Amino acid sequence: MNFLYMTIKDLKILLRDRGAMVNLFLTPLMFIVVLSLALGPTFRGPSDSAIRIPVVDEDQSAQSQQIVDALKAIKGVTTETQITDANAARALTRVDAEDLLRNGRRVGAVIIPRGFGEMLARGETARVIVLQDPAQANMANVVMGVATGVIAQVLGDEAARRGADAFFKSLESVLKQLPPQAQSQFDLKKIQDESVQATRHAAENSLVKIETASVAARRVETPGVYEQNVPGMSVMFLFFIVNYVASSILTEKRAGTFRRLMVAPISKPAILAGKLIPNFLMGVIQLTVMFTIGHFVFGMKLGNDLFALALISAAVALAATGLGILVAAVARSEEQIGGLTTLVILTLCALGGTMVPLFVMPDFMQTLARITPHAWALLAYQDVIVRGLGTLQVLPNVTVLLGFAGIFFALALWKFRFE
Amino acid sequence: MSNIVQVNDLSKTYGDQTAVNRISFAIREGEIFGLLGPNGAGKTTTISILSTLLAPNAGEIKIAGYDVRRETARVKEIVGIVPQELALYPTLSARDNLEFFGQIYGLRGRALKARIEEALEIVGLRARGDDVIETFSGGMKRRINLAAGLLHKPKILFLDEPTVGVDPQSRNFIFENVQRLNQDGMTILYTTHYMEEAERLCHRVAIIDQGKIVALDTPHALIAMLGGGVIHIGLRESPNNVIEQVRTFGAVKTAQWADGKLAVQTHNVNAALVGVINAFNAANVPINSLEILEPNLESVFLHLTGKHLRD
Ligand SMILES: Nc1ncnc2c1ncn2[C@@H]1O[C@H](COP(=O)(O)OP(=O)(O)OP(=O)(O)O)[C@@H](O)[C@H]1O
Ligand SMILES: [Mg+2]
Repeated sequence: MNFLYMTIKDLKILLRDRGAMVNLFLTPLMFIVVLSLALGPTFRGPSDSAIRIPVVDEDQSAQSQQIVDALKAIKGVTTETQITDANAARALTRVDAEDLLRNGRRVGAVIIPRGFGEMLARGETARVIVLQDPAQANMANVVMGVATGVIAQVLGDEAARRGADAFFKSLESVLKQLPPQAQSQFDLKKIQDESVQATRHAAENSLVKIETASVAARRVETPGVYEQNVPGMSVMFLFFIVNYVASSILTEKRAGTFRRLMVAPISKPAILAGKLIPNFLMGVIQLTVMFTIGHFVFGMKLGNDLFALALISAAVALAATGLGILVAAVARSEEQIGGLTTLVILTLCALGGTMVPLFVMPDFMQTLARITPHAWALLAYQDVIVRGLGTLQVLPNVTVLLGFAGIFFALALWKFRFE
Repeated sequence: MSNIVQVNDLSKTYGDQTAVNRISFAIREGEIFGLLGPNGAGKTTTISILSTLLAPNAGEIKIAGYDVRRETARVKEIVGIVPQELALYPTLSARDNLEFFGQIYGLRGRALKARIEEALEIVGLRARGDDVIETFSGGMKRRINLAAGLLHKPKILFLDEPTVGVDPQSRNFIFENVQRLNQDGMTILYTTHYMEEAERLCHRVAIIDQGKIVALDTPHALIAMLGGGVIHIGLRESPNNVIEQVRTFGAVKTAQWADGKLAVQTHNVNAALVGVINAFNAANVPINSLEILEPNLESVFLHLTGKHLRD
């Protein structure tokens, strides 16, 4: 059990290293606070401040324009008719609307099909399509209600209008009572009841038939600012342990204490384990502290499966420690370690989505990110804390992280010199 | 006395550089054996091989009857090492350092505590035991470095230049420690490039240069090689007749011509000097340089290798 004594010794050394403690604990906290304050607004999802409803006007008639205008006039609801694509704005299409839903960016959309105006003019029943994400049924019902109300208003159907007015009053008052960011906490039951009633009422009298179509979101949630920054910065600064693993090994070699170890009756694997375990533990402690502070101080969600979080943390800490030993095996001097770790850590961090969130990256960057352990760890963390997934669902990511650790160790053992 | 260390035909190369070149020697149980040589002579390499740290390219080494390459575990228990570097953790206290080094030698609990105090006592630093190594003077660090090698009571202790960069007081302290440990029965291999240390401490000294042992004997016998001292006379060419004449002087033991230098071994330098100089004057042979080697190990090294121990 010699490696245990090595572990205790190395932890003592590390804990006494003020610089290391600042780097591993205070700096990431500082980054979390600064980045979260600075970037907070960009993380507030589209549906945070107002319900955003994409409106696709395929008809381009006077009647359809009337409906669009009426939708635009509603308070608490933002209608979008344009999309910015490659820096140029253009009219929104049905495909765009479907994409927005599929990507979880919006929960519902209104489509006014070609021929809407003509059919109304001919006295036939015209159609309006409401797209909705079935996973967000409550929110989608709001969109439905909005559409119904507007159509009733525009068409001057008295009965429907009365129903819709009642609905809107309640919707507005409900919305007003809520903090702007708390979209998920709408008293949706109430809204739903109101809107269903209003919808039914209107549909009976309306000239317009409202059809619904489902577009399921691939991934509904994107992380909030702390759900991004706490795991992001924790993983980023976890990898600073690479520097400490590598320089602690090099320092021992240079100081000659490594000779003492080699001359003493300890096996080589025990020596390596003795260098690995303390730093691994330090990494796990670091992650635990960050997530604890993230939860209790910043109100970051932790999801429903703490064991899954622990598993991810252990796997990514192992990968970081492995990378540290690999750097120690390859680098020949303190300067090389400094240069190598700065280059490797910062590149991996930037690529891996710890600095810039993965979900804002273009697709090819998101794919490229998969070459870093960081991305696998972050996605796994967010699966748990944002998407509420559990151990079973993060096992693939944990396996990949262990794979990274395995590759790092294998390469390190191959290159490591005990002399 | 039996041999506790037996080295036969040991060689070690780093790439194409030969660090140790077919050396053989034996260390007797209970003696202080010196390895005296200049920088790069191969002292640390030899110690590293003897302590199982490095694998030799060729040769056979037995320590207390165990083969160093095959019975590594046994050898590790018998051997203690005090590396040339300060092999300590600077941010830990002296006691923490010793505790850790004791633990990796399998010491636990009360036995460990007792050994730590004993080792601190030996090097005279018990009062400073809880201080962090960083705050120690160079000499005190060296003493803790020594203490760390003593914890598991090795039968044989390898000391690799333990006094480098040390003040005279600490140096004396270390000398006394080494002598006391030796009196208590510990065999010691002591490397140094200070001839005074080898002369004062060692029962026998191997003089090593460029990976080869050039002489091995007691300091007394080595110095006796020089007799009453040696005179080195630099000359432009070999004047054979004068050399013959010098050899007949009563105070002169031998006179050897090599590399533009005549080395005159004497029974007594002062008695021989005037006669030798007069002989060259009379023969009209100009003397380029004149060097008198006092009878000490430095002179022995110079005499054997043509180089000074310290450059
Ligand atoms: N790891 C190494 N790689 C390459 N060459 C080495 C290595 N270690 C030692 N040498 C070379 O081997 C020779 C012997 O070195 P060694 O350290 O044994 O000398 P030393 O007698 O201990 O010298 P010093 O008094 O300076 O400590 C030197 O020429 C040195 O350059
Ligand atoms: Mg040396």
